[in-house]
Amino acid sequence: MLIDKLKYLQGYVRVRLFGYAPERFLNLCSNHNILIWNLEYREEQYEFCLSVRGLRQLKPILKKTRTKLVILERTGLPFVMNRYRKRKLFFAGIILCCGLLYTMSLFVWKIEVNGNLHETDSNIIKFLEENQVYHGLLKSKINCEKIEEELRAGYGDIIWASAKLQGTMLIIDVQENLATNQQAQDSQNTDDTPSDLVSDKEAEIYSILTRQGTPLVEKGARVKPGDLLVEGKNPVLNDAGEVANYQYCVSDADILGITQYSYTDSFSLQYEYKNFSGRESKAFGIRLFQGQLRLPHISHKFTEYDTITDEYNLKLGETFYLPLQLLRETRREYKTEKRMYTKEEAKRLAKEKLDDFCKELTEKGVQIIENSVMIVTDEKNCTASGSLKVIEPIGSRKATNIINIPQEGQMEDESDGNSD
Amino acid sequence: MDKKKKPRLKQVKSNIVESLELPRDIMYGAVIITAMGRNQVLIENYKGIIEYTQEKIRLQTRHCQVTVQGKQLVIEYYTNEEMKITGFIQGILYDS
Repeated sequence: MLIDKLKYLQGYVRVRLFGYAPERFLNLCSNHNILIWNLEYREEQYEFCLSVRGLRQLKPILKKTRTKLVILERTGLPFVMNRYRKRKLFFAGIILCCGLLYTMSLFVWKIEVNGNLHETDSNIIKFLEENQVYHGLLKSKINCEKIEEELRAGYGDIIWASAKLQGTMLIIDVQENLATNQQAQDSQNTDDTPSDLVSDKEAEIYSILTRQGTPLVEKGARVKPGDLLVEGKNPVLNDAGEVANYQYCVSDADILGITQYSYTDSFSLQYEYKNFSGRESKAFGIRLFQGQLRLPHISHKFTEYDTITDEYNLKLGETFYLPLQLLRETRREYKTEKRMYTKEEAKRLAKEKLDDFCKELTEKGVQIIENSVMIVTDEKNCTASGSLKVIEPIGSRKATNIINIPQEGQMEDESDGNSD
Repeated sequence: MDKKKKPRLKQVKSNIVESLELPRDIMYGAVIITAMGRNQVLIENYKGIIEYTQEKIRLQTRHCQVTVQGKQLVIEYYTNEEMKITGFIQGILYDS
């Protein structure tokens, strides 16, 4: 196969040979290293193929063997080129196309981010854009090592990053810290400054489990926002039972409180319904770099419609993305109709919304213990109102108020070192 | 002297080739004929074409002549060292 292609590229001819000593001619050809193939004997004449280069060397051999040669057919690229040699624009087009392809291959047309779980692709791409790495940048200007460093420096939870260029695609692989963002934040907060836990909402304490610090509330106690729950200092008593000093610490406790959420939701029974007629009109366009060119919708003119736009990236091979996108805009016509919910429908809808709200709460780690939401439907509106009683973790961190107590001398060693 | 020496030299050479198991095609320039199925023959180490018709291809090798008989014989290609013949092969003959 490959040899056939090479022969085509070099060009070859099929010739007919006749005369005094054709066998001698064939032997001389092989002695002169002139390749002959598809040799056939027909009616006392020989037909065979040989390359253009071989044809040029034949003259002395033909003379020596007193044979004659007729060219039957010419095949190959040199002959095609010769036939179209006057079509200058055609060749200009080929050269232009090659040049364009080469120029396009100098830029990055797609950035792919892999391995990110918490950060979205678009976030990372936006971050890269801020660091002068964007679509359409010259490949030679990209410094993969610098990108890796910037990613690691810019995102705390990216512990490993790798950037590589493949074709016109910049592939960024990242590895995020396996601990969740929350844990990462927590670990960042664990500095040594002593802190208290303070109630952030009105609640009744359901349970309290203190690991560090002095608990100030008990189970069943009612707390208001701002009330101290766990204090980040432990009193140190001297022999006389007086407070001699405080040991400060970062207070740590699991505090569950019973809190109430009020829930109100009201919507009108009347609503607008999109009745799709099923008629669609399509229009196409292209996007080149930042510019967009859209063809108008010809087939139908709708007054009310939904628009769906599909974009297709053009690429050569797997990774060579061209800065050209095809757009397809589909408009689906609808007629707006005013409709009324029936009471059952309205009730179901209100219930669904409430369930969604409850689900959202449960996902936050909240346990719902009482649900007293009533759904009332009158002629015009559907209203759901009431309250939810839930058990949820409470307490937010606040720096401990450090009290200076005059030192007696011997207590210094026991203090945490923060109270000087 | 010379005439007596030559057969002896030949004997020595063939003894060496035999005992060292050297390839005969290189040492003697022997012809290699590879026939694949009924339609293809590859001939290596030939010297030249003596005769070529559709029914018969006669080749000169170093020690003998080789005739390939058949019908509609076509030389697919030939170079200085080898030749590929296709067609309906009926026989391969060695003449001295």
